[in-house]
Amino acid sequence: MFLAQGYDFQPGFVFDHLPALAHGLLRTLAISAIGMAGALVVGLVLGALSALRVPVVRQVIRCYVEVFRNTPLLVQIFFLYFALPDIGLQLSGFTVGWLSLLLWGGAYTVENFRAGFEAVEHGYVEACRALGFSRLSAFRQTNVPLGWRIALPSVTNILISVFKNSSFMIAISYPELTETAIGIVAVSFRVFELFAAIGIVYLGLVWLMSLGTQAVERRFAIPGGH
Amino acid sequence: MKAKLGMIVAAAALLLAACGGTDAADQGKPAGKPVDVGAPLPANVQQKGKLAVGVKCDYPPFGYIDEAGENAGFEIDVAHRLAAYAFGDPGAVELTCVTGSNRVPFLTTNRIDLIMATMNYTPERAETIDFTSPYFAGGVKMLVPADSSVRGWDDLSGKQVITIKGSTASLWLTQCMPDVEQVQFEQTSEAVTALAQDRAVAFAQDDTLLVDLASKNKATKVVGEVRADSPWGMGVRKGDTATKAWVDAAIKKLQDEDLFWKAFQESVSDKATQQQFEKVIPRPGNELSYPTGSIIEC
Amino acid sequence: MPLWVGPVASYVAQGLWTTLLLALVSIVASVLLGTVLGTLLTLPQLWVRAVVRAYVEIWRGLPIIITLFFIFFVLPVLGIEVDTFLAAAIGLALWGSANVAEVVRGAVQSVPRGQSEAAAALGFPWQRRMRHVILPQATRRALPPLVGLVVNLTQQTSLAAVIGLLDVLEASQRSIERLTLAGGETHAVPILGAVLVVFFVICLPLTILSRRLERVLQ
Repeated sequence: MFLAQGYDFQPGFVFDHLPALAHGLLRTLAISAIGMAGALVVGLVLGALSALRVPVVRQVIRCYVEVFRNTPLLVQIFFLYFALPDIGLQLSGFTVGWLSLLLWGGAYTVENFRAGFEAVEHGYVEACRALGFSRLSAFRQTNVPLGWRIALPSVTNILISVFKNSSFMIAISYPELTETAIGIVAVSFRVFELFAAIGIVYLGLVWLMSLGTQAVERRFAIPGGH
Repeated sequence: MKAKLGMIVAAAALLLAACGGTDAADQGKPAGKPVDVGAPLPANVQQKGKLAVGVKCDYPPFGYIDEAGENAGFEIDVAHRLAAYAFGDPGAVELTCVTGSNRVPFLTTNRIDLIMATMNYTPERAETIDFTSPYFAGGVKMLVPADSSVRGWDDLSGKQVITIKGSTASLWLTQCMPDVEQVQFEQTSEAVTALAQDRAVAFAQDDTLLVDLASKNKATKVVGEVRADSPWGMGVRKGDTATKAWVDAAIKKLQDEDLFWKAFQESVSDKATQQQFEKVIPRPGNELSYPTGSIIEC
Repeated sequence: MPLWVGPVASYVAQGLWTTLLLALVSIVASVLLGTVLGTLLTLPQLWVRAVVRAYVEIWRGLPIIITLFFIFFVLPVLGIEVDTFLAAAIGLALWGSANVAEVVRGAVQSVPRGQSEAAAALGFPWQRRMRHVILPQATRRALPPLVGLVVNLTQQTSLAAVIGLLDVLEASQRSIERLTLAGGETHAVPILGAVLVVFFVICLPLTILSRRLERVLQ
């Protein structure tokens, strides 16, 4: 080919290592799935509490959000795995995998859901209150069902980022897809074939996820806009 | 407007002067002359004006970062001596930190021209790169907590063992003990920390590094029979005969002048350790050679 | 102050300098390139939109780590040699520009069509419509998410440590490496904690700015 230095390009090489790469992909999907689901739940619950303006809770949530949004995920991962044991809390690679993604993703989804809940037209809420519903009940009946749909596009964006950020686990050598590929490169030196292959896998999965989220957004879009 | 322009020009001039200033300070050192080692310096190296070497930064006492943030160690010393032969200036060397997993890609992508990074010779590695003459030798052993019940390699069966990606220990375990679950890290400190946190029963790596780690950390000890014992070689790109010829000749010259032993004594102050490894240092009358056949004997 | 703090602090400070420089270069490149691309995405010509869309989807869809490895290890195989800082800057700029393009496209397209049509009806040619009507309003809408992207990019510079760039994270890791191998305490908690604090101190004001901009400009 046009490759320099006589690089011996072997496309079939990737298939020799398919089992290891498949295991890596499974781990990627596992920590991503738990991280995404967790971030979703955390976002809904804490976002609601935040929008309800519960006194002390709101400040605590605000602290959590600001810390995890203003520091790099890579450093958070290092800290969780290598530094926490020094103060007695030792977590496995798998746990740090999904936990770090959950905490990072959650910080963003909390803000997105909070904004969504607060963006609901106040008229709906007032109407609900006028009918005699309590503040909490009105919130549950109007802000929540409408708010989460408003927040949906930005939330799905973050969830896809959570999936891509699973590759950060190379920091703690957790054998997800990227780390597995790097390990194979370490003994075979086939950088091009391996990185091209996992690049295609990531792009393909992100594309599938985008299709999925677009379908979900269409299904749950508020008719006529909000 | 004119005042602003004037300030910018003045600032630029100051900046240039500062940059120029450091060059002038370097030129204060007396420049030696290149030494003829018996083979010509390759043209691409001559053009660069310095030797681009990949070294370890996490492997004391061979390659590590000292308190001042500078590269230090036995291999770094040798690199400086090679630069002195090549250009007459020990400082004419560009040291890049590499790891067991990226040293070969760094070489094949021209980021470095020479690997001197505690690399054992294996026939498999020799398929992708060319090895120079050997300059050290070592095998792999295990580092375990001082109170561990692990005595030999068989005790690792079915357990988790820490290795460094791309290292000889990792290759040996993959081939000879596939039931061992390898927890692979990039850096020595990550491996050491993980062992201290009991994330595995042992850390398998070169005996030279483990001896150094155990001497500094009394809570650990080195166990096991040495495996995959093989000489270390420097690595050049496949087919780069000019660099190989020059480095081989330089290694011979260093050996004849007993400079390897001198550098080793400076890096390893402990007399007992010096004695332990004396037979694998190239000295006048002490030749090292590569074995034929596979290194990985199970 | 304990003995180990001095050397570590000065080494990490060097790394911080590299981080800030990398962040600056990546942000400028991303904003410039991304604005151009984002505007191209609003053009009527299908083939222009398709090409830019492909660029955006690829560099947004790939994990940045893969992009960095590709540029660092694979480009030289194809004959293009780049040093570590440049490789990191290019990788971050590819991701950054793709995201900025999306933000700019969204901002331009969110300006109500009525504005553009009214301007056209008043005789404004396309260029002057963009300059006086669309772009000012689009900029107002783009600014809050753009500031958020700037914060994000600043944090993503830490990824350059995976290709060995001596940034603040790599410097702190090498310090921890050195301390660990010297056989004493690793001091991982204070060192990594300090890195977190440094990023927090740099990013928090920007995040607050973004929030304030959002309130003011809506």
